[in-house]
Amino acid sequence: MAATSVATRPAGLPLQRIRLDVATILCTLLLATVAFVVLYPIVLLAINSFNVAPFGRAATWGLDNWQTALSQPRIVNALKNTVSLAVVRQAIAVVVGIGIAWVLARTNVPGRGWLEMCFWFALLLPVLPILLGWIILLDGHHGLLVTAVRQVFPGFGFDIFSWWGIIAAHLMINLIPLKVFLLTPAFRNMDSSLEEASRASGASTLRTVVRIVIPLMAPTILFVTLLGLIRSMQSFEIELILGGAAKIDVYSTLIYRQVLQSPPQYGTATALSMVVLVGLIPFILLQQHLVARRNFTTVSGKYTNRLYDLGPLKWPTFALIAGLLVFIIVVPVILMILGTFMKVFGVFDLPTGIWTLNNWQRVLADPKLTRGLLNTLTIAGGSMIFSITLFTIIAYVSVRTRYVGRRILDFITWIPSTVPGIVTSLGLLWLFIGTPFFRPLYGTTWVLIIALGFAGLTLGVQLIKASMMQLGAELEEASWASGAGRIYTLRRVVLPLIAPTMAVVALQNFGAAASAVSLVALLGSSNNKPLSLMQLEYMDTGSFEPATVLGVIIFMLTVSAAILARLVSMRWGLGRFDRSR
Amino acid sequence: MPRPRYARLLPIALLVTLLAACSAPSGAPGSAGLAASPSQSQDPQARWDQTLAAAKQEGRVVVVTHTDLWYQKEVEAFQAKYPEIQVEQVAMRPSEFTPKVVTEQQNGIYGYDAWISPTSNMVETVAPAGGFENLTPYLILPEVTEGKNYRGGKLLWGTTDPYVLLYQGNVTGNVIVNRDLLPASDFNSFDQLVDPRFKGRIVIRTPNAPQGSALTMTGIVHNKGADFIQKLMVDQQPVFVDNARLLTQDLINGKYAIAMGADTETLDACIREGGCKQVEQVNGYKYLLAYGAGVLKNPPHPNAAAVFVNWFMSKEGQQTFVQTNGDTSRPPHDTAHSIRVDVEPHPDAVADATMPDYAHLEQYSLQGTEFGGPEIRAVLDMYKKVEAGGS
Repeated sequence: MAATSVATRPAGLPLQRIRLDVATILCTLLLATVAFVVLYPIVLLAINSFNVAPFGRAATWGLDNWQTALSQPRIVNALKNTVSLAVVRQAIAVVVGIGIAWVLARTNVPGRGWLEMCFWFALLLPVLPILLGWIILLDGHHGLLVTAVRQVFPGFGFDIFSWWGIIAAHLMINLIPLKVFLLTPAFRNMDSSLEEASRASGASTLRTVVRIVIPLMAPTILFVTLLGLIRSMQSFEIELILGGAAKIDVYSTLIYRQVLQSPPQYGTATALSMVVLVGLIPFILLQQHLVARRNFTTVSGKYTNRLYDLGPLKWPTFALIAGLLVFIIVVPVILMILGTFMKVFGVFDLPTGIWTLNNWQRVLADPKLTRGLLNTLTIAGGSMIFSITLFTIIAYVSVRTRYVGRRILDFITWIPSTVPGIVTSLGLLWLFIGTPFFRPLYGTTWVLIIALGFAGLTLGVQLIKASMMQLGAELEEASWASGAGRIYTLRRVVLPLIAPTMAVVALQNFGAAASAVSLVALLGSSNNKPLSLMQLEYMDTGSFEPATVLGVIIFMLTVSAAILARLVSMRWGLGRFDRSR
Repeated sequence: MPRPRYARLLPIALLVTLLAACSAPSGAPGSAGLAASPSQSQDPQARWDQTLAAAKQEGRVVVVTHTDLWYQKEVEAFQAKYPEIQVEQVAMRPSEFTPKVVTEQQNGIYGYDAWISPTSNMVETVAPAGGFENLTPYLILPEVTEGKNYRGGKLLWGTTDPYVLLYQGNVTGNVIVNRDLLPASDFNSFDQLVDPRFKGRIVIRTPNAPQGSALTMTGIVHNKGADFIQKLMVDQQPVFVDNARLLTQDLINGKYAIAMGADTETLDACIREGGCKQVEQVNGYKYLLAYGAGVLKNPPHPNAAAVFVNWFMSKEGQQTFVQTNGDTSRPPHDTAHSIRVDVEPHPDAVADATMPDYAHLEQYSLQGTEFGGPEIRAVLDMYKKVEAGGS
């Protein structure tokens, strides 16, 4: 069955001869711009990793940073932990994510639209307050949940400060929501006739999923898995808090600690980052190779989107996913909101009572709140529009043209995700200050929009690309045959078909930009300070509870964007044909 | 084919975003000359009048501060005093402002005039990178330049050369103990930190930067030598935790008995509400944490910078500082005190003995000054060794 669906790769759509030169020039300009913005900071960082002078002093060249980086006694253990943690949590998350995405996109499980939205919301939750909330519940020493379970099962020994605690925290806080978030739109774009043909040939549901659905979804699954693995190399917040006490180092915490030192050791941090970059290149090339060999078209002129009837399993399936969401979104949101009303977060024994409205009153009375809100909307909204436009163009060039540099363009889009943001932010500062083209923009909101827009390059481009690969060429050919031009066809045929994916990418960028801190602090000015920096200022001054209030406000802002994105994608995309939702 | 309505709205949305984004960058390199340098005129009043007139001509000053609310109030007070000089406050953490300003200056961008904040980054990174002006020509008013107005009888500099002038030294040094686990009869002195009985019972905020725990250890190094902290960090097998908030919660909940580098804001809040009766502060060897002011290299508004620094270091500026510090912080207001003799400290500062004996500074580890550098380096290097698995 699978062999009939997974055929040889079709050639890219031919560009019209007259437009070829113009198109090539435009594509080359695009390639050059993207390459410059992505590679310039990294090349500068790489060069400066050989500068052994203290930060800010005249350069002295040497290999000390590399020696320090590579001779770290904990590096081997950190690498082992990084790989083992990444492989285990990705394996669990991919399997669970595929299962849930398939159920939400391909079956008639009740309330699937809302269930999917809840996974979106979970992804937008701020990590630190949620993690501290989980610690209140799952600390092996005094966690509320652990203590309660121990009263029933005295031998219960789970502690969030452990290897499995890190896995569980990652799965709940970001991995499962992210997988569902990224995979569901792709699953939704699958032609149901393929599954129906499989079942008509006698294949079971499981066999259909394994032999038809998963191979057809391979580019997206492969991309999501690879991205997950790459992100595992960068993730440090959870590991730093949970792994520190348990003495579990990972590679990213080694890098983070170099930057955190006083004075910051950017050279050593860059050297460590370069090792990751070089180590990940073969995986990126392998992914490109695997994707290039096959055809993954699932949306053709005969596209149908009939849902699989789960029958009596409908409600149990709903209960299973809803139960998981209780842990992923309901409990964390309750903890986070309760935290904003606590006098001292995490302290449940105060003679004067533990609840207060002061935190909300203090934040709502802050004269900087309105300005911060407007700045957040401008930066996050601008970054979203910029990124979705740029990413769609890059994905289109990579998938739908024969431009000679398209593989290089695609490869470059992977690079930003291989170097930790904490390291690249300094490189971006050099980019915007050191180049005549960008320098006039320095200090303006434009810089933040561009920098934050590019921050989501890998995820955005690869996700839209995977979605475009699902579209059959005949859809565009039919449009051209009717006299429509390339731009008109893109706008009226291609974009509506990939709208759900674009909505996901837009939302992801909006959320990331709204909560970005270090890049905004480094590139922004006092005129464009968003809520995320106000939150940091509250934290700095020991006002954790009001900071959590701002976290909730940012969360609500992003949730509003999520609902909007959902409505737009449903109205504009294939969702409008799905009347059963 | 008909054009959908939302497609028409897209360009409008783009335009709105673009317009909103068009806020101009602040600051550009400009003249670095003071209207009246000491060589041109020896009369302070004449110099002040010329400088003030030139500052009003410049019409603007860009002041970098830390993020605490009192800095904002301080800037507002200056604005009220000199309405002709528009103040732009850039509130940033020193650790974030430092790479930004150094990189900008290396690329010829000079957008800031004065900087007031804790001085570690000023002294350790920005001053050695040539990021400050010599402050002496900027100090004009006699009440600012005369040593008799300062506790200790002289101006106190954070750097060997006159770049960073201190306006406050805050003295502290303590560990927090959970008395449910460790009664006062068992532990009541810093010297007991290396007692083998407490092995594995101490939690320390990771001392990889000059914050709470690392600074507390400089006081120990200053009085007991580096061997003591080696014993503490190696033999006592403490747990290192990165997050101060978490460390504090663990102490309150009885996971650890002794904590170094706890989040004092959280503890103070808990104590104010009548809770956390089981935790107690044990004072020990003190360190001084410096706060200072400087004029950044090639300030775009040099005369306005001079007016701001003179006002800030004056009796009026420092009184405002002590007042706003007390008004904007939650009790105890033990950081509300100034180096000036004519500025009364807040009673909390006196009660908690957070104001140093400026005449005998040798008893403290002077953090945030060049002179405390070797001690904080010893602590940070020792932790690096511990982290690397050596001793």
